[in-house]
Amino acid sequence: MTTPASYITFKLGNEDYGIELVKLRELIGLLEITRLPRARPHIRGLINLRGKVIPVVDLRIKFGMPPAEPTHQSVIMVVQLDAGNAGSTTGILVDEVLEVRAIPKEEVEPAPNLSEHVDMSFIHGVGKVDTRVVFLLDIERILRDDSSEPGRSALGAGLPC
Amino acid sequence: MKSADQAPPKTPAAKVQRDAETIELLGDFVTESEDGLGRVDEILLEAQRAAVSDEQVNELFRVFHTIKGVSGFLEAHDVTRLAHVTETLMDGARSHRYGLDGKVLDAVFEASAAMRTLLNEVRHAAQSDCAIPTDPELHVLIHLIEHATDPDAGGSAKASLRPSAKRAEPLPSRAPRAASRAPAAPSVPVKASAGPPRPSLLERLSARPPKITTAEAPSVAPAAPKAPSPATPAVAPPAAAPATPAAEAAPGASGDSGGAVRLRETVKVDLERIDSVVEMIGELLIVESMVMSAGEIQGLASPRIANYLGQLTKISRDLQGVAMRMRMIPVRGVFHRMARLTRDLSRKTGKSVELVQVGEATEMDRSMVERIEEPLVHMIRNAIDHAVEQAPERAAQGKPETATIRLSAQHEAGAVTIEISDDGRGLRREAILNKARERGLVKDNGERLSDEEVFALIFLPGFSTAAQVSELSGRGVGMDVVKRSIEAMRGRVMIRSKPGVGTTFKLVLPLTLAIIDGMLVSCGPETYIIPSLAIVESLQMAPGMLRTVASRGELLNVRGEVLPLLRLRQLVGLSGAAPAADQCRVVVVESLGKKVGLVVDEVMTQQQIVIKPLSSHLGDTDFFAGAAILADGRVGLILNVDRLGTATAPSPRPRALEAAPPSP
Repeated sequence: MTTPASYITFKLGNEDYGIELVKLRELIGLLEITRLPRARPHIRGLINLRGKVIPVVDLRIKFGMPPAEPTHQSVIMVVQLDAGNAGSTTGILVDEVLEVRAIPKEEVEPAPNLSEHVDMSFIHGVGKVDTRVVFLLDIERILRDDSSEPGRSALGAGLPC
Repeated sequence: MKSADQAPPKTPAAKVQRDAETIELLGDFVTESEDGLGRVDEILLEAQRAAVSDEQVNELFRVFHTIKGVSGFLEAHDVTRLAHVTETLMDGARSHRYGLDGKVLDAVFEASAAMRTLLNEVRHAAQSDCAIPTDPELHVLIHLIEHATDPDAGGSAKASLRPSAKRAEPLPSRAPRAASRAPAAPSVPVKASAGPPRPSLLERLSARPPKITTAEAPSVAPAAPKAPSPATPAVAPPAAAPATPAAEAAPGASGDSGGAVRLRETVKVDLERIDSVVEMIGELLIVESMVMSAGEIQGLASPRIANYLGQLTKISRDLQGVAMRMRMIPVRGVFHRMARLTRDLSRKTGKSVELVQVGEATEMDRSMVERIEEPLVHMIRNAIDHAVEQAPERAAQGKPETATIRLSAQHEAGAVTIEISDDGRGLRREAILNKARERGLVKDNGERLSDEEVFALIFLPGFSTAAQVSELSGRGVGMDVVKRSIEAMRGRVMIRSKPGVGTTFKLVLPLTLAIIDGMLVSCGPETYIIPSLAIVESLQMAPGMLRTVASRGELLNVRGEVLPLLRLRQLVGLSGAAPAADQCRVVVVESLGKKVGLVVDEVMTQQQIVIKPLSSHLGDTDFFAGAAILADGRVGLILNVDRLGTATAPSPRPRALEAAPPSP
């Protein structure tokens, strides 16, 4: 038996996603995002995180989903990729945060081509939580991915949701 | 003879008056050198166990090189001599003439230990207003270092190193034995290594110009009193010199009453800690304002609570101010040290050089100000040693006899730029190329290289076109250090040079944290910041000012001057109706010598802005010089004015800041 890894799970559209909990620094409610003109489309803008300016990524756009205006349930998940590098702090805008779940390795399967929207290389695997399926994201890969046209390689880009 | 009239290990503590600047310099020098020796010891210990890398040997070399350079103008002669021979020894090791082991390693160990002792003496001398003592036995150690690589010097070298390194201990009786224990060494090299007989204290003091005249008068050309040039009449210093020794003649009579001067002590704090303090204070301010604006608090009618809260607010703001200042310091201190370096080098080389300082108040991140000093020392030393011609040569070219080195700092397009320009002979393309060919560094003889590429060769390790290795420079290590230091700060070095006219080194440093004056302008719901330095004027749009020319877009007529017009709304891709033309304001900005009119909705206010860098993977972030947190807590974007200029050009030009002068 291996110790189960903990994930923070959240919703984008109708799908559930998860990110390893160790990558998460904090969750913050929606605050004013300054648009960054000429940035890549999935860069929603910049926020002031207690005196630090960090970019916010809109995963909907990154995954080629139709854009949605943030609601009161929207949350910015602040992740830090390298522990030592404050410059790697990034906010991720998601529709709704669900819960923290421990998902045992046995419950994680390699990624099948299931997601309507997401480039499968962004996915570590698929976990099962109760009856739901959670796509476990490779957040490093997503944030470091430099393809300038988001959703280009997504499977179902442009499909109605 | 020397050891006969001077009691080892310490010379009599003659009193010396030092100005505050000198004391500060000495303090900084000792601290920095000790840091360097710490690294040396680490590397040496490693070298005992296993072979060390070339880079580490280079590091050893650089530490002694830097100590030599700085001590030279602080007149810590023993330190300079010891650093010089050790540097020479390391130079051989880094060019693989011998390995860093055995006797060589021992010698460097001894040199490092002896250097620490010397530095202690310098510190002591500075604190007690004494002259820096000279060690009559130092030549023994120096001799041994110089001969550490002799195959036949054998074990005696190692054995006799010991006493000399211990010379600071109160065992003067061992010193003569140390000297006599190196009988195998021919006596001539001993003399040579010890240099000419040390000038007496009096002589050395009189070689220094009086402090009052020089320290406070940077605008007066630091004329080289010892200049061989007949045109420079030897003026005040020799005349004033006797006065100083006269005061020396009665040590203790007046000197003791003032009490000992303390060297300014500084603590080097890890920047990460400062960052976290700044960050936490940021959080504190947010919470503070949340508390203040909470309805419950505002509902309280108690004047006592209001008073407490007022104090809380004030302390929080003060704290923020302190935290900000902790990181930002003006370059003034470093610039002044460069003025001093110039003066000293000017005297040493017999060349008359004036350092003009511009923008000393420019603030930079503290860590950068600390790290900028070493490259500046190297560049100024190079400029005076190599670039500036001797007076007759200058006269023949119709140049003023006093050379000018201009050292300037400014904030420019979200960067801090520091320029060092001299009016010397300029870089000689052919000389650099010849050297590069000699060392096989260029292909096809390098004929097709641009000037800029040729000039960049001087940054290669060990590259020097100087024929002579002097105590000042010429080993080619300087520019290597410059490039390395600047790149470590994520900056760039650019060279412009014209034969016979001079050379300009431009350092462009990023601002990890820098404060600029910014003008806040609005555009729809968004706020942008224009660096005030770039703003020429701001005016109300009037009906007659706008022209539309089919091929050139919109133009603005400002009192007869026709400027290209840009609309911020379009540049940032903002849709929605703009205010009526006569409601808009035009901000005229200038960058790279080009003026542009920028239409904004409204000009709001001017304030000090702390620039936060944007990471480059976000997109076309070059369009912005950075971001800043506005007074209301939102993030504002700082426009990169250089890019506005090129945005008007039909095709985007590469953002080369410096164009190389045309090839000859």
